[in-house]
Amino acid sequence: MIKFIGKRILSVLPVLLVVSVVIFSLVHLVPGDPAAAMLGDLATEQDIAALRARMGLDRPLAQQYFIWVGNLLRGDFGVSVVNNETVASMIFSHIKPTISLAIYSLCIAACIAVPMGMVAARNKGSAADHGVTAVSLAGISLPSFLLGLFLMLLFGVKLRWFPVSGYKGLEEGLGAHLKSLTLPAVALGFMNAALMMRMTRASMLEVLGSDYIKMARAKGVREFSLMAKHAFKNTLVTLITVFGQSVIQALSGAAVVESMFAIPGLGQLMVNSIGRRDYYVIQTIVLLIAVFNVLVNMVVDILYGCVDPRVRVN
Amino acid sequence: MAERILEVDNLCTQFKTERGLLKAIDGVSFEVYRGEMLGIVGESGCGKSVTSQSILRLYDEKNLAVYSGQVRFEGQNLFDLSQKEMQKIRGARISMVFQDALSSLNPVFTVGNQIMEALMIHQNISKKDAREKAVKMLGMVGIPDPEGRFFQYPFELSGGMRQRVMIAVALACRPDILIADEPTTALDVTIQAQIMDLMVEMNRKLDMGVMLITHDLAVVAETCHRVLVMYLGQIVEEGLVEDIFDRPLHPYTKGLIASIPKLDSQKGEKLHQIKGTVPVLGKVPEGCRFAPRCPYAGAECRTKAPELKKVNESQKVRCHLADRRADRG
Repeated sequence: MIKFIGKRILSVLPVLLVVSVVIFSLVHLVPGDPAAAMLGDLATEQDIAALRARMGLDRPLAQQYFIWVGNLLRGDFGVSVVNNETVASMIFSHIKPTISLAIYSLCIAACIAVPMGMVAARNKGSAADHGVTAVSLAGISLPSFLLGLFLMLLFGVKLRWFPVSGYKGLEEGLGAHLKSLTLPAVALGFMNAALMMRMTRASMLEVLGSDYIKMARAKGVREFSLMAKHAFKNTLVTLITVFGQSVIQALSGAAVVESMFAIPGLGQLMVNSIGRRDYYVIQTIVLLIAVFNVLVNMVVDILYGCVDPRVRVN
Repeated sequence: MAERILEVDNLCTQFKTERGLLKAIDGVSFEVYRGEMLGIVGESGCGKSVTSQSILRLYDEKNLAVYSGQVRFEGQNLFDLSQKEMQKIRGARISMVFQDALSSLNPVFTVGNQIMEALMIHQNISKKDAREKAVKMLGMVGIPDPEGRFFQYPFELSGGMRQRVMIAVALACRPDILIADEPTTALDVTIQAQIMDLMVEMNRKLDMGVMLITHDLAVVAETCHRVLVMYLGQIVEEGLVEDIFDRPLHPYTKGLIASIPKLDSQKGEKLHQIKGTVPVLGKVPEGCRFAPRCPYAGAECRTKAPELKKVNESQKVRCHLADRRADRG
């Protein structure tokens, strides 16, 4: 098992290398000069040359790359050209709401979707099954911004159960924190929940039709343990895959929801930075999301090995 | 006479399909005695497996199967029991071994765990005792190095080993009846023989009734005491193995026996086969169900369905012609 995990971790390194090269190249592939683009049409030659020197753009490409990677490894992501704040501190202050929102929405999604998917599969063709199928279809078809607007209207404006928008940090108390995040978490989590429901139902149906479930039943396994132990562990590989995708989506795809509900998260920071052409910030966020993708997939791979002994072998 | 442990009386199993109810099993009655090996033979689709799974009520009764008739075990009709009570019988009193051990053993649990589970469901024992017993079971079914194998997963074992594990799971609680549904079909010939030897040995050692479902008549001839021949959801002939093989009365049984390839036949000689195929359940022929494929069928056979009749002390047959023959002699 340790060997398996070691192998998985090692296999990530070349991917990270490629990711860093691609992101670094992005800047240099963009037509025109990043410094000129940043300063706008009215900048003088001297200004551009000065900024180029400050950004190190006048050095050879390979050298620039190594300097950049070296800085990254030391936690130095550069300084924002807009407000002179370090990129690290900007990201640090914006990542907390995003992580909170992601965890909250994933909890909602997983807690609702997995049991419902299992119930639907267990009672295939029943009213519950049709209900789950309909809800999941709605979830997949309904874009999160539309659902967000509905939620705002119903729970924020009409019922006044939750604030329409705005964010309260953890330091203002867990209750207030969760309350401010509930609507966006539902808006964000509903699509993931729908996807998880579908996948849980589908893979559960497949597992329930298998011989080992029949065998387990024939040896007297109780109905609950049949579902919760024998069938569930076999659907885990599918569930982990979907969950991994949802994690990535919740962390990197929350820009719309964050903007709608005025949550100062990573998505909002990225949207704003693109508007301000704050080049280092964009680059770092893209890098962060890419690295995050790679890491989540690595964890998913390792978890496969934990739940399915057949994966560990090769 | 040995103790009668299971009585199946007029068992009918119908499946709900889009085209309405289909009768897969139509009035099957037989008994299983303690210590005997009862073979159930027939072509694919004749209802052997459905019979065995109906006894344990393994089909989904809400959406799929409708049972009628009785299955009496220790004087109790299993169809009267709740699912909870049924769970106490499955695996503890009546166990089952399936055809393909690779797909029948749960791939994500160790074999030891799967044997232990059977013990811990039905017997009130500690984990430690269950583990000890499970290792003993592995040894009993002839698995070398049972302590080491205990921690292996099904995919790490060979086909024969897996089948032994499945038998160990089924026998862990010392059941009164073991239903083996084509336990050797997925194995190669030498392993088949080993597994059959094991089944016979266990049958003797544990003094249980074994229902061996197979389409391999040679296996039945070698191991079983009595045999049921099924065709299209009905029993067409029943008797002691010697009688059935020496004097088969039903043309279907004769056909099956003639279909066994013989070693002394000439090369190039065509193998015997029964004409036609088993009709689908929705199109059960009128009269005798075998009549369309029967070389001896007469007018009566095509209109009137024969009953399963006793022709001598141990043999029963469902055939108009056999009746006449018996009348004459």
